[in-house]
Amino acid sequence: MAVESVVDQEALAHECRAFTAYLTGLAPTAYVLEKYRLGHGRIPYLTQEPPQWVDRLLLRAAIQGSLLLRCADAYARILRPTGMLRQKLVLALAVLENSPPTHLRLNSAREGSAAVLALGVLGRGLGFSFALLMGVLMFGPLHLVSALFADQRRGTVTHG
Amino acid sequence: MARVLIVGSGASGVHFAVSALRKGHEVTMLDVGHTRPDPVAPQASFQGLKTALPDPATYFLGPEGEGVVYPATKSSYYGHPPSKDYVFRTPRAFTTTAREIRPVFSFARGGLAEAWTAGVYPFNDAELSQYPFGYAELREHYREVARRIGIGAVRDDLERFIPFDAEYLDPLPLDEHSQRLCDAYTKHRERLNSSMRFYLGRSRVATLSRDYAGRRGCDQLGRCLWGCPTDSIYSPLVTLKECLKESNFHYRPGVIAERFDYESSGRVSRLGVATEEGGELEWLGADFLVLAAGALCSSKIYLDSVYQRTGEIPVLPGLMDNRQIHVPFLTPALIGRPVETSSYQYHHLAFGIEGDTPTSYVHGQITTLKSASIHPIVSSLPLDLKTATELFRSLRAGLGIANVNLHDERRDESYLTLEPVEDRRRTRLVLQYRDPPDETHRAAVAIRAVKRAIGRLGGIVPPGMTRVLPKGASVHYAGTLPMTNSAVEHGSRPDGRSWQFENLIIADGAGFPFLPAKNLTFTLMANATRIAEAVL
Repeated sequence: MAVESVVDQEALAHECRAFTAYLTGLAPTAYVLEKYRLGHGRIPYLTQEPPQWVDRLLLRAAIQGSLLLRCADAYARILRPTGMLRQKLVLALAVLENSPPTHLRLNSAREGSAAVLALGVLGRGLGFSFALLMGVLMFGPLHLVSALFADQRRGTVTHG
Repeated sequence: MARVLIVGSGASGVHFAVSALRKGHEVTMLDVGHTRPDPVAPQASFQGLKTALPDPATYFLGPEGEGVVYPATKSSYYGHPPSKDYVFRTPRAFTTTAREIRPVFSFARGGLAEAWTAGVYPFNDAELSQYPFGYAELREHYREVARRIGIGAVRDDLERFIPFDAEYLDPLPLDEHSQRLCDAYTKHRERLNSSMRFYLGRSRVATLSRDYAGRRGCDQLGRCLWGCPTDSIYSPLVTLKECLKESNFHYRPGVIAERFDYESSGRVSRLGVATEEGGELEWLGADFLVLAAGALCSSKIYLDSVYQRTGEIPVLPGLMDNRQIHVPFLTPALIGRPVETSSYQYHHLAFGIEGDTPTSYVHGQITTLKSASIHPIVSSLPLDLKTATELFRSLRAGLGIANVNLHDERRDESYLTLEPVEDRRRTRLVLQYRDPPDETHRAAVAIRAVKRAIGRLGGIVPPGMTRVLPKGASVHYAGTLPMTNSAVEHGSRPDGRSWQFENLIIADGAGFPFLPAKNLTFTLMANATRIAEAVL
């Protein structure tokens, strides 16, 4: 049990480091790591059901690096909006917006000329579209297959 | 001098108490009275708190992150912060069954107004047309309450719907976003008024723009959503403190009023109270019993009293609550501007949309949301979280929410009753709500009108982000023991006394026979004052 718990703690810390870098470009402080760990007990997804296969896949991909994380996040926002990855990311954002020093960056407005910012928004929109496309190509077929298997299993139980 | 028992320390209870005390009566206030924690770092601004506090995440999110708003919920863009948990904590023995409504209860010292946004709007004659009195009979009491609590207001186009004849303080200074919306309104007023029947003005708020009656004016710390550390936002606690200075006032926290006993003549003889943990009832005698625990809790005391005496469970029809709609919008002209997190955070502006009938008026308030939590808003955008966060930072200064309220009417299909539990010794409050048949249509019309008006004011309403909140969210419960001119079963007289029990006084929203779209708290206070003056 002790070994399992150490592994879990390390896995959570690894997630937190990946999410903090993704959202703020910084490394998490010890305070953020601790708050992220404590907040896990309240994540609705984790208190209701064992994680589905597709959610485990998205999380595993997400912690490999920021590029994969962005694709997994974009995919999850549209096709698994209340899934495990999104809920963990929201927890991380909530902790970061309320912890120094990341609160300064997250709570500040991006100031500048409206035209430049509008171009930035356009660029980000295109970036999201690309990440979503990549996400669909990477995770879509596996998600579909897992959903079909889940349906088959449900059908077996119903008629059994 | 009469002995008066008041149940509840919320907006109705404390203002009834002040008037009763001034007349020299002996007043005892009974209350569960969960207490507000002391303010943390009272000089720190919203942003400053995050560095001033040793554990800021616990303050803003709770010890285990219970204040995080996850994407599974689709209720609101802002929930209540953990620092206000005490407002909504209910005793373990208090249970409810709610159908088609999500009620919110408070057993806090100061009641639900501990978490209000301080909007104060007197009802007009049209909105009081189903009441057994008109605006003229409430005017003096509105004035009296305005003197007690301090209200910032100014004459503007909203006077068309909202009477303006009390002594008001100057309003708070506008933030840049609200000022821009005002300027746009001035420019397009004619069109907005004539073709959209849309009128904009300053919010009337019980928040001090300057020092007043021993309280400090707003320090512009930006902590309104999280709990004002200086009491410049009025709370019934301010009035409770005034009451506590009087020798004929007795405050008894830590007790729940369970039920009253009455004689066959219909006179209430005593009130049974228990501790929060339950146990044997302690009986208290009085000349008058005043129910001011909020419409739902007051009705439960009433229902339990009748049930324990007769064995029959009554039904109290007419439960009302305002439907609330959040319409988020963006003012593109403010993109790239700095955000004023250290400024007054609740609504600076209010609006009214004229209906086809005077009672179908739609009321709204505009909040520019500068110190709300980011994560609930960002995670609701249809983008990955990184893109959404960066987009939010770019657009933040231009973001706002129009908070729209619709009126409600008493109907038999929406009611309160009881369910016996534990061998019929205890009971559970049952709430059944049915949406008014025309409400979906009214909501659609209101949303369309607000979107058009915001467009004219230079804003954009993003598609798919408007949220019709579940019934119960506005926390404006009323109508279950209504005031009527002639005797009805389970109702109250024009002076607030029950038709059945002559010395039982219904001093809260349970006595309201109609619920206009406006926030009701100011009228709760004025009506409780009116009743105290009339009966005692």
